[in-house]
Amino acid sequence: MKNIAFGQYYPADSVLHRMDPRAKLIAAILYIVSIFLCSNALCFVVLALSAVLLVLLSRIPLRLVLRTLRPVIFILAFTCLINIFFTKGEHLLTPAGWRVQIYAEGLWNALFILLRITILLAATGVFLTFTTTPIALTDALEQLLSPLKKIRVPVHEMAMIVTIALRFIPLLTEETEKIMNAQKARGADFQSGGLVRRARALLPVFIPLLGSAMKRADELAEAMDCRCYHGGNGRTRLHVLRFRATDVAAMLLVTAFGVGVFFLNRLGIGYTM
Amino acid sequence: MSDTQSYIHAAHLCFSYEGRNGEPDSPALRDVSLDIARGEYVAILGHNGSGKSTFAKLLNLILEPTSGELTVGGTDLTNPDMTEEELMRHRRRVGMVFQNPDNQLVATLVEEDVAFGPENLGVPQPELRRRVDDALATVGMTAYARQEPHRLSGGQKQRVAIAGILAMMPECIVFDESTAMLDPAGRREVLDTIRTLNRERGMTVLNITHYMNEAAEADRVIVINDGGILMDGSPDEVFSRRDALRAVGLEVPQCTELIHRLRAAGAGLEGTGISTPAGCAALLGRALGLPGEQEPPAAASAAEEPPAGTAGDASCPAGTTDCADAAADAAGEDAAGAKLRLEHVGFVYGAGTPFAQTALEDVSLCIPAGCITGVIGHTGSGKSTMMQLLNGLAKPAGGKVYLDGNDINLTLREALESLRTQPQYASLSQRAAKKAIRAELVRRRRELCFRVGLVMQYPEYQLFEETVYQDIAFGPKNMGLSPEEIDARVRDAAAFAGVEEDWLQRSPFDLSGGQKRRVAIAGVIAMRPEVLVLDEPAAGLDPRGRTRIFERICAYQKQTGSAVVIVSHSMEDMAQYCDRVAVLSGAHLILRGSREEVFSHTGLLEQVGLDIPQVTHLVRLLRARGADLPANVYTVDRAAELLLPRLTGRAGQGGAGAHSNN
Repeated sequence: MKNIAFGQYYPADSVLHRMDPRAKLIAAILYIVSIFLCSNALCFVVLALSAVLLVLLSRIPLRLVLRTLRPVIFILAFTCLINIFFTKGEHLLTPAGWRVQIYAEGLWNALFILLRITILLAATGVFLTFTTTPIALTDALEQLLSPLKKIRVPVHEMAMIVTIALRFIPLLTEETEKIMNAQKARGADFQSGGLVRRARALLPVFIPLLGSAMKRADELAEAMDCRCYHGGNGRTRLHVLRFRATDVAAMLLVTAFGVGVFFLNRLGIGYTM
Repeated sequence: MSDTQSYIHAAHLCFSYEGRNGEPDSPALRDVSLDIARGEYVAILGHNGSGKSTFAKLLNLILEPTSGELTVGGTDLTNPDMTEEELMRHRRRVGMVFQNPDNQLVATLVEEDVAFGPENLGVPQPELRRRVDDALATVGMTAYARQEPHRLSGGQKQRVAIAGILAMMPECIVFDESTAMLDPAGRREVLDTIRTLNRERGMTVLNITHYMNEAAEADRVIVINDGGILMDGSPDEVFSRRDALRAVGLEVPQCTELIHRLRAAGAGLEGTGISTPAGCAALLGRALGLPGEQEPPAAASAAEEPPAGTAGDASCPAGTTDCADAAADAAGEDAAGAKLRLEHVGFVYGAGTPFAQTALEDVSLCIPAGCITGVIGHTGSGKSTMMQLLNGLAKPAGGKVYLDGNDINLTLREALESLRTQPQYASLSQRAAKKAIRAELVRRRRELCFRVGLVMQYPEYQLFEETVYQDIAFGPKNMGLSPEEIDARVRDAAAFAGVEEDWLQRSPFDLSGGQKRRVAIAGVIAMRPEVLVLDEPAAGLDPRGRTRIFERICAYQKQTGSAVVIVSHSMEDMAQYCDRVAVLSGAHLILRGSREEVFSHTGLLEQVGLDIPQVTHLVRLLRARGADLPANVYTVDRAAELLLPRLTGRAGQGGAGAHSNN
């Protein structure tokens, strides 16, 4: 358990791994916007090609990227089927008189939705979760949102909460395992019985876990006090995020891509949604 | 107002915590007056609840004094008008390192954590970078700068915590039981760091501890008891008052204890330097008329010591006669009489992933009934994994674990083969037999955790019930016993573990740490296990608490005659309480046998990073100077027994020698 990295971060050395997390965040947003601008076949071809290029650039195994589809596979399948069977259009594919009527438009729509969602998930993975550590992402969010401090949004505090949570998740996971083992050693049974019984069986785990988490929180607060923590005011940073030429170039590239997609879309080549 | 010479000045300092009803509780500190000079290395001793940690928290204004004077580095800490800025400036100067290494690291990267303090202080780049690098270099953690803290060992984490304080450029560091949760190797790392900071950087150091051996390293020892100062002096002065220390629940180091005993028996031994093995060796050396001082031998050279099969008079304590046979069994193939037996057992964490890690490899060990077996090894040696193999919580990746000769991890297929021929299954049809055997396996597996009772490390954190009684009854209840039987067992177990009658109806969360631990142990004893396995039963307790727990365990073992396994990294405890010892290092079992045999290999034990008992170390120093003593002396009793006849013969002479040598 100790050695399993938290989150989906996949360590590798790629252009995308090296990018400034803020640049990645902005690039990801721009890219996602361009996915939704797409509405014709040519556009989707370009989009799909760009997505493949991104995956290759990130050096993340394709298998891993596709795995992010797993949780949404049912919704995806359902949406596709609905589109196939219920879209009315001009090109009826099934012989006239059949009760089930499938139009070419339905198939196209289903394909587009499939592409859209796949590319959307792949892009967030490649830009963010796979290539950026959760902590870098938190930093990026804190800095990008810092203008909100002016309207009293506690941006720094929220980021600190996330940081501490990330720090303690592996610890608490380990502790949960230990407590479960300790209670198993006293004959606790977590596997059998119905839902209610199982939930009750977890009480001997949750109560000690909660107690220990509270104790940890207390001690951590004291340690932070001792190290002069007093909120975000006047704090300096060891790792200051700096945009480099490549980061700026990457953002410009994605913007250009978005604009390109926009105009390509207006040409209306191929089936249009 | 304050003495210009002293860095910390306290006069008539009092502190009371706020009680439940808002009224102040009985004072945690009363009328404490002391002065600590800049650059001093002071150890503050006291048992749990003596007020020593309260004192530390006052120094850093985590708590505010109730009354009295307290000045640190010229800043008056009782000033009610202290501004936020002044408070921060003060906290920067007085750093604190706490007990639990996990709960004081904030960031997810080592270097970012070290930077946390200076970041808060607004230290700009590149100064910030330089401070972080310097601090990490001082504690020897530069190589780990980009690591995640949860992957480090306890000692390493504690060093990172120290670096985090150092990066704020403090004048004084207070260590609040910072070594209590570490193994000997980790403790050594931290103590060496502390000493370097004091000696080379002139840092004022306060080490709050209940380890006597640690206090012996300081220039000055202050003993706090019941909120007041009991003693204040050099380690020698304080340790010479053994009985007064014992009265407040503290024990002197083993070598000091030895000198005390020898003196009491009329061996003379006038002189100072009784707080460290080196000092005691010098004293004893003079008294024994040994040739001049020599450099103590390095651990490596000591590894050549002959394994002392010469220890003829060594034997198991009374009532453990079958231990000797079992010792042979463990080595040989015939294993009759063994309660639990591990046969070529291995275990791998995360098998089949890139993170796979071997925790145990080819371990064979015999645990006989009727005696206490100690398993010793430092953190990461695989000992905690071994514990979980004993009661089936973990399944070995290879090899077998036998309880009373039965494989405890029998698979269904193996069970079908071995049990099918038994009379109760022989008459059944294939299908019915399979069903019956499967049920039998489930029953056995469930029974296993009741037969081999496991007390995990820091077991007090697993208490959860509303009352102590219900918590102890949790195990027996899971066994499906009748209410009368449960009641009898709870009361029995409570008595065995030292849980007092009137705690039973209280909430376990109202008890102190040591009391909670006894409740947790009672909870396992209540299942009346045939084998009781305890993982570090005394970790983090003060000397009095340690002795109590071990004496309870020994008494329990004697009365029930069951097998007991104690896992620990404290050699001194092993030497005192265990009949047989197994030593794990780097996933391998490197030594096993009676404690006499195992402790004769002191060199090997030290090589693998274990702390040999202090008295053993002392005897080795004497041997190096030519004393005619056996190598395997590991208890104070034995050392006293050996040394006394040699000393009394020449007591007068030795005493005179001591003076002339000085």
